[in-house]
Amino acid sequence: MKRQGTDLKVVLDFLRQLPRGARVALGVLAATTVIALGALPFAFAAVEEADGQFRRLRAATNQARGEAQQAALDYDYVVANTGRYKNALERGVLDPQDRLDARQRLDTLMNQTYLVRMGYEMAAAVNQQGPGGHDLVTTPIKMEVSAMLDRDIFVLLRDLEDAFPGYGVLRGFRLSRGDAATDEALRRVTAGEPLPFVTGSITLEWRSATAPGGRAGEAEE
Amino acid sequence: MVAFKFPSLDQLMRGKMFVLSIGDEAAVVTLIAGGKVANAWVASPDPAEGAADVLDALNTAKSVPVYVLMDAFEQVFREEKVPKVNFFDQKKVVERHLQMAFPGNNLQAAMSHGADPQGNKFFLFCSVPPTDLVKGWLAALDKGKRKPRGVHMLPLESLDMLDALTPPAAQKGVRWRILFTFNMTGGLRQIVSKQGRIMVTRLTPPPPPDSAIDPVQIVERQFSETLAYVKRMGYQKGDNLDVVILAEEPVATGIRERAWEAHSMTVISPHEVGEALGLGRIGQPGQPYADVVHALWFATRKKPKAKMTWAQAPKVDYVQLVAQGAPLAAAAAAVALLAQGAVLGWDYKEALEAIDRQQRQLSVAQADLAREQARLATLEFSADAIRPLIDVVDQLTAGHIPPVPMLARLGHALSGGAVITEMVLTTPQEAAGATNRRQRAQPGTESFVWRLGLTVTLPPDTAGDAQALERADVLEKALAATFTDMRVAMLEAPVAVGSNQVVRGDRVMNSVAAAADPAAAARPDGLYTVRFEVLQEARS
Repeated sequence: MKRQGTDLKVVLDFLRQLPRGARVALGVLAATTVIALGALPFAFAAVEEADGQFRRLRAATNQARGEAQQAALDYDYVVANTGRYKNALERGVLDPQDRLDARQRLDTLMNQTYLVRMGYEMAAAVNQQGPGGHDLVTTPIKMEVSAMLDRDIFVLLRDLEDAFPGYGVLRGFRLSRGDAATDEALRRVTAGEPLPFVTGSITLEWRSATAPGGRAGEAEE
Repeated sequence: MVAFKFPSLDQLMRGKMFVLSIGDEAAVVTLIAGGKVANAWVASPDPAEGAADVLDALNTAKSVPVYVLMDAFEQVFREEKVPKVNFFDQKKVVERHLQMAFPGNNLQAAMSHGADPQGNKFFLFCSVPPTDLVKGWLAALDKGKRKPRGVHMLPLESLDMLDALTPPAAQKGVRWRILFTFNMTGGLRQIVSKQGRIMVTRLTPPPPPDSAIDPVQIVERQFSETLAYVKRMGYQKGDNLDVVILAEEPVATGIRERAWEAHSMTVISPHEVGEALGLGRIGQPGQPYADVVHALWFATRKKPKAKMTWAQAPKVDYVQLVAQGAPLAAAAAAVALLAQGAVLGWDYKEALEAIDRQQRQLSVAQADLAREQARLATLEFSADAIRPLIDVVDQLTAGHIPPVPMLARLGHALSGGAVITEMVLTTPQEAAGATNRRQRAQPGTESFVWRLGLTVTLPPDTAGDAQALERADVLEKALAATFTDMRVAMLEAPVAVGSNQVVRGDRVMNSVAAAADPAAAARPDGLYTVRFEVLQEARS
C-alpha cells in the first residue's frame, strides 16, 4: 500500500506540473480509451451478430429458391415423361425375356403380315448394368424373310417395334426385288401359290430391363 | 605504502589540495600545500586493493579538495573544427560536436585551440573511455565521500611545463617539443607538442623490477619511435625539435652522453626541475619519479586546462513531452474513436437493412417453393419415382430407327414410276457386325447414324440416256427435298458419263426398222438403273 501510495503521489505531482490544456487532453485520452475498451467490443459483436443473421437468411433464401427451381424442373419432367413411363410399363419393359412367348409372337406376326417365309435366329442375351440399378438385357435377332409384296415386309418392320415385351430396335435390313413377274408367275399366284418376289434380311435387337435386385416385372411407383 | 613527507611552513600558508594521479602501474596521492608538495603516498593501481590506502591518505585532511590526474592508457585527443556560430550557441555546438566525436559513455572535455582567419574555431576534444580502472577509482572516491572536484588528463595539464623547460628557439619555423618523464603511475610518459599544441602522448610501461635494461636505452628507443610518429605527422628536417627529459643520475649523465637528433636536449632531475619552473626544489635528490612534479605543476596553475565530465544522454523532459503530445494523442484518439464508431454504426445499419431485404426475399422464395410443391402434389408420379425407368428407356431406345417415317418419306420421294429393286439400311453397329461380329466399328467409321442404300430402276418409257440422266437428277432432287436433314448422293448414274468413269459401247443393228428409229440406238437393252445413298450423319 505504501508503494502504491508513493506511485500515486508521483503521478499526481507529475500531473500538477502539466499545463491545464495538457491535463484536459489527458482526460479526453483517458475517456476515449475507456469508451473504446468498454463499448467497441459490444459494437463489434452486434455488427458481427447482424452479419451472421444476414448470412443465415441468405443461405435459407438460396436453399428455398433452389428447392423451388428443382420442384419446377421436376414438375416439367414428370409432365413430359409420364406418358413414356406408362408406355414403358405397358410395353412390359421390366418383364423377363420369355423366348417361348417370343417365338409365338413371331409366328403370329408372320401370319398377320402374309409373309411367304420367315426364318429367325435369336442369339444369346447380353446383360449390361444400366442406370438406377437396373440391368439392361439385349437379345440380337437376325431374320430372313420373303414375301410377294414389299408392303408385307414393310408392315413386318413396323410391327417388329412392338413385337416383344420391351423394345424391338431395328439395326438394319436388306430388301431385294426379284425379276419382273412373268405370265407364268402371275398364273401360279392366281392359282394360290405364294411366290417370293421380294426377299430380305433384318437385323434387330430385343431390348428390355430388369428391376433393381432382379425383381423382373415389378413396376416402379 | 611508501610516504614522502616534506613539511614546510609555507605550505600551511597557501591553499591545500590532494592530487590523485591514477595510472596502470600505481596510484599516487600528492598533498599540495602552500605551493609545495606537503606529502605523497603511493598505492596499488587496482582500486580494490589501493582504495583503502588512498582514502586513508585523503582522510588525513578531510576538508582538502581532491583532484584526479589521469595518467593511464587509452587517452584520446582529437582536434576538430567547429563552425562559426554566435557566442550564446557556441557551448551547445561544441558539446554536440564533442558528443559526435566521442559517442557513448566516456569522460570527455573540450579545449579551445584557436581559430582560423574565416572565424572557424578549433577545439581539442579529449576522451577517456570508462575502463575498469577509471570507473573503479571514481566509484571508490564516491563511496569514500571524497568525490573529486575535477578529473583531468595529465598530458594536457603538463603541456605548459614543457614550454617552460625548453630554451628559446634556435631558428625560426615550426617548433616541436617532446617531454620525457618517469612516472610511478604509468612508466615512461611522453608528451609531444607542435607549436604549443598537443600532438601525441605516449606511455611506455616500466621494465620489470629485476630487469637489467638500461633506462637510457629505453629512452633512446622510445625517442626513435616517437620521432618516427612525429615525422608521419608532418615533422620535416629543418623544423625545431626540443627534447626535455626529467631524469635523475646516473641516467641523466647517460642521456647527455648520447647524440640525439634534436636541436636542444634538456635533461634535468625531478628534484631540480622545480627551480627551473619557479616552484622551488621538489622532493629529495636521487628521487627518479616525476609524479609529484606533475601534481605540483597542476596544483599551481591558475586553473586547469580541461575538466573531464561524463558524457550523458540528454535528459528527457517528460513534462514537456506529455504537454506537447497529449493534445495530439487525445485528438487522434477521439477522431479514431468517432471514425470507428461511425463505421460500426454504418455497418450495423447496413446489416439491419440487408436482413430486412433478405427476409422479404426469403418469404417470396418460400411462397414459390410452396406453390411448386403444391403443383407437384397434383401429379400422378413423383420425379424421383419415374426418373430411373425413364433413364432406362432412354438407353434401351438409343439408336432406334423408326422404319415407318423413313419408308413414308421414301415413298413420297419416289412417286412417278420409279421402282426400288434393292434397299439396304445399315447402322454402324450393323456395319461392324458384317465384317467381324466380335469387333466394334473402328473409330471414324461411326460418323453416321444410319445409311440407306437404294437401287432404283427408272420407268420403262425412259427414252434414251439423256432422259435417263434427267430423270435420275429429278429423283435425286426429290430425295434431297424429302430428306432435307440428311445427305443424299447419287452413287451410280444410269449412264456412265462421268469424267471419272469408263465409257464402253458395243452396238449391233437388229433390224432395218430399228435402225431407222434414232431413239432406238440410244436405248439400252434393259431398264435404266440408278443407285442412291441417303446418309443420316452423326451430330458432333
